Amino acid sequence: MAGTTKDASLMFTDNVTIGDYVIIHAGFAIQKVNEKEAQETLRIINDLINDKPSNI
Amino acid sequence: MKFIDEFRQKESSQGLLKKIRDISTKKVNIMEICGTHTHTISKYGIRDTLPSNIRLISGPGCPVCVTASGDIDKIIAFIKDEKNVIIATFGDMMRVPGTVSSLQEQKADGSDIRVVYSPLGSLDIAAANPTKEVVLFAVGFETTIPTVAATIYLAKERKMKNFSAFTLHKLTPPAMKALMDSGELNLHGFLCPGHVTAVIGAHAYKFLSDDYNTPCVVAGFEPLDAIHGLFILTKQLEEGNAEIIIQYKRVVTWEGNKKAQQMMEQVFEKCDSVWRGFGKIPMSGLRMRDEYSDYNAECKFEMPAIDYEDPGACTCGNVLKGLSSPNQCPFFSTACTPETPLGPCMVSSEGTCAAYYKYGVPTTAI
Repeated sequence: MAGTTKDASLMFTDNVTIGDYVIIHAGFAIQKVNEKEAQETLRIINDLINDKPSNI
Repeated sequence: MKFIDEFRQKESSQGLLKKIRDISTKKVNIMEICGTHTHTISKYGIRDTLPSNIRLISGPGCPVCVTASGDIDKIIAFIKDEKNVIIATFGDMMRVPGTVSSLQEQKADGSDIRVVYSPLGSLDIAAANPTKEVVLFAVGFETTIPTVAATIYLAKERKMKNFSAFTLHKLTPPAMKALMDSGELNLHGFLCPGHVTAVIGAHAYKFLSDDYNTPCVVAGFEPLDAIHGLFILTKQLEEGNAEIIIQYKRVVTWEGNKKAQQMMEQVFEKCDSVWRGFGKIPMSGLRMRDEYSDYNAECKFEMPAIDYEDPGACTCGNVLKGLSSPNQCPFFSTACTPETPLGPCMVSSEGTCAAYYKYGVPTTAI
């Protein structure tokens, strides 16, 4: 993020490729960030604020 | 999408906070048990904008803070005795006061104590210093535990002779159970830590729903995530539900990270553990399995036996249990500041007292 480069182990993740985003903790990637779920969460929040019916 | 800015949007945050105020009627006590949540909530002033009937309590979310001072005393006594040792530890541990001293003071006294960002850094130190013994002093909850387990596993694979670890890991679900069983707080729901749960899976909290009828929401760490998590929890409490719900779906699943869990299981087994503020909580800690005893500093060296007595002045214990706010401690921001901390809650970047000092005491603080 923002230009900082760090080495990290991918031993706890599967199928991570260049362009993916991962959560790094203490030098290890602990999970790949799911872009579809991220979009879905933002949509759910948006629906909530605008009183559109939606599941949580 | 960069996954950060989108979850910091001010308008969406304010819109969601308004929704919480719209639906909230019941007087409820919610606990968050994650140092990063403590800081996000303080930094963005979220506590102040919640309706006054929602009491948001900071619990034992900081692994440095819940390390018993007796364990700090132990590692300090060890490094005083053993001259040929390099201690590698995480940054937060350096300034935590034990009963008499801290690792930082010992370093100033001449002990070789080095900060590592990753536990793997301690393997590099061991490889670069073959005539010295390197001991990794590691604390951490389940986000960190797999990384330390992997380090110990790799040391064994590489047949390293001059590396071992003194590990004081603690587990989140048993602490939550102890908080519910103590009956001191009357908790109605939990905001659960996002990255601990990315590892252990949301199913780890099912016992709170099944046995304690208590809802939990696993939330991310950006302000929008925390507020969304609080909304979902408030809605559950208003409707009388007690489900385990994942807000942080882009990172957290019901099963968690199986590879990380397997690595923890490979190297560690559960044991009783002493928590600052709580005393002993059964099966709430981890120790290395026998097959890793060559890499267990407590087996490799004679580590002194220490009494587990919390130092008198510091009231971190009550802060950690959520029984009091930092501002209720007589030493907060007077004798105890980030420059001159009396206890770990002020030292650690995840500590509740550090958050209150840095971002201000909320007007709704008890």
